[in-house]
Amino acid sequence: MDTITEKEKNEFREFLSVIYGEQAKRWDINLKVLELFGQLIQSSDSCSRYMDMVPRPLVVGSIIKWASKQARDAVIRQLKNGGKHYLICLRAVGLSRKTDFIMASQGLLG
Amino acid sequence: MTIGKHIYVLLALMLALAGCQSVNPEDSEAVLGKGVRHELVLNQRLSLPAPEVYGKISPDEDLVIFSGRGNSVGYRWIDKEEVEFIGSNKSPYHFFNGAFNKPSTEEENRFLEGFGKIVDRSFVSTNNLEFYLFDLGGRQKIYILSGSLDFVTEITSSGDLKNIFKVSTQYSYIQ
Repeated sequence: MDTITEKEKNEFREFLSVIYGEQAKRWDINLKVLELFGQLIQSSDSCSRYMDMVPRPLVVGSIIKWASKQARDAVIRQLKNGGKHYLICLRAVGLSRKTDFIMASQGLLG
Repeated sequence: MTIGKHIYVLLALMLALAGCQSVNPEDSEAVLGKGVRHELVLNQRLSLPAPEVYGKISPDEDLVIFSGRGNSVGYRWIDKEEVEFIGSNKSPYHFFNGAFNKPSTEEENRFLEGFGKIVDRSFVSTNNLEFYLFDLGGRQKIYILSGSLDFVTEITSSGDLKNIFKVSTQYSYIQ
């Protein structure tokens, strides 16, 4: 696995804070949190209309290899380039998963 | 929401009675319903049966997690501020009641979309409280609602929630 850098962690904290509020900026970002983020992103068809119409690694059916820095960089790049409305749309989708994220950030999810 | 603002946990009583070393913390079924019942009181209003065996309690702004060896249970309260944050102008009760029974708004439908496939669900209404248990295939969620409360409670566990559901429906009450 490619080590998740502090810069990457801060990028993902920013994305998660749009979905879950400021407290997400205190979450530890580990592989489990990123996997949950991937599941959240791929669980919503209704929000996809807010995403830029560019080739995207987030298309439903593709599995994001979060352990790979290249994959993480691609996701970060895509979300930074016009993903804000998409992330806001994910707030309702992600409501039932907030506790999962917190538990994962504390290492309490297997 | 400030950290611990609305949480009222009878920690002193729980810690004083924390001699339940003979109960296996990994067995979430065994941790409830043994002898003296410990209460977890949320927002000074909703009393729930609390886990009796745990190694760690982790309170956060809107969540408290009880952790024992190999198992964790999180109790989270969702208030109007959070429902507004996701885009709904309904009260927490009406948002979740609507989502679970007759979803009509975009936010309610998106919330259900986030569940993924619902494998099974159970419902109990008692004591002015509505209890919903959802099996989402790999994870389970309990939601506790009441028209008399200005928040909704969500229970999440890394293990099975069926016994917590059963005991919660029997022993929860509004103060």
